[in-house]
Amino acid sequence: MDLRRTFTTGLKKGIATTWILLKITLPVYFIVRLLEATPVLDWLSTLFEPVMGLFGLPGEASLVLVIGNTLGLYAAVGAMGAMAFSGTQVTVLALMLSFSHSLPVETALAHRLGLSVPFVVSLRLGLAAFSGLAAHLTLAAA
Amino acid sequence: MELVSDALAGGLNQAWLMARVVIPLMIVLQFCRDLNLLGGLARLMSPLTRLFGMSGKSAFPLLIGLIFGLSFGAGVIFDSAREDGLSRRDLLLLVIFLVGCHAVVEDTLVFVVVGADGRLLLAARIGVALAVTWLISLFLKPSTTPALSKCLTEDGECP
Repeated sequence: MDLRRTFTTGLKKGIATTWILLKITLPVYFIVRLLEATPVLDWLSTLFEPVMGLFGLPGEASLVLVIGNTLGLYAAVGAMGAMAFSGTQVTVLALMLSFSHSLPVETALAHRLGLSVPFVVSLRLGLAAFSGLAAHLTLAAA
Repeated sequence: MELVSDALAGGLNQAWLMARVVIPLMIVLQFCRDLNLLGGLARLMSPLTRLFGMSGKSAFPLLIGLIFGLSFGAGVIFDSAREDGLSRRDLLLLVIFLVGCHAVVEDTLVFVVVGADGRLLLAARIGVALAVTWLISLFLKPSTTPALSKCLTEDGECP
């Protein structure tokens, strides 16, 4: 058993994976930072304020949810890093995104394994909404 | 131009935060693979598969999906379904659990990077996936249908 080899293989994979992930997060991070200099985020915020308020989140959190559900968690983290959220808000967003993310890719996989598309999508979005609501209520009370 | 330099610094910072999580994780996972720790860990999953009334053969793909994620897990699930003959019920419950909860190490750490409460995330995700799968398992009768060896091989359409 060559432990040194295992270590270097792991290291190489880690660097390769980090590089792949950065190619996703960094562009999203920069785009969101640039969007902040335009009124686009403000429009989004105002539009989604009422819905996001249910989860104790500001309106612009809607952008993070959309990015996470379409592009994936790393892109969502890139967007979150570019915005200012409180610790509780980060946890609520993370919880919602944990249940529901990368819908195009992962729904295709689940479908391939025998689940129906509407079932998977509604289960995941339902869990996200439920957990966001529950987390907001309990964390706000604490 | 303050915006650009500001964004650049923030981007580099984020790159560092991410590398700090991903590189050690990949090294640990590589050790798990090379030292064959996964077989032993899979046995720890058997109380779970028993709770859902699934066959013990589901434990390994369950563990792989839980740790490595849905895309990698899908490969192992296909493989197990074909080689070990998972029943349709086993497969359904397996995928339902994994849809709610997969790649738990990576997905949790990614959010810890931006300041989320990792323990809460992990506990909530596993707890909710368990509850949902258990509920559905009550309604799915133990399957009498034969193994799925055929329907997963060609175009993925199951009867």
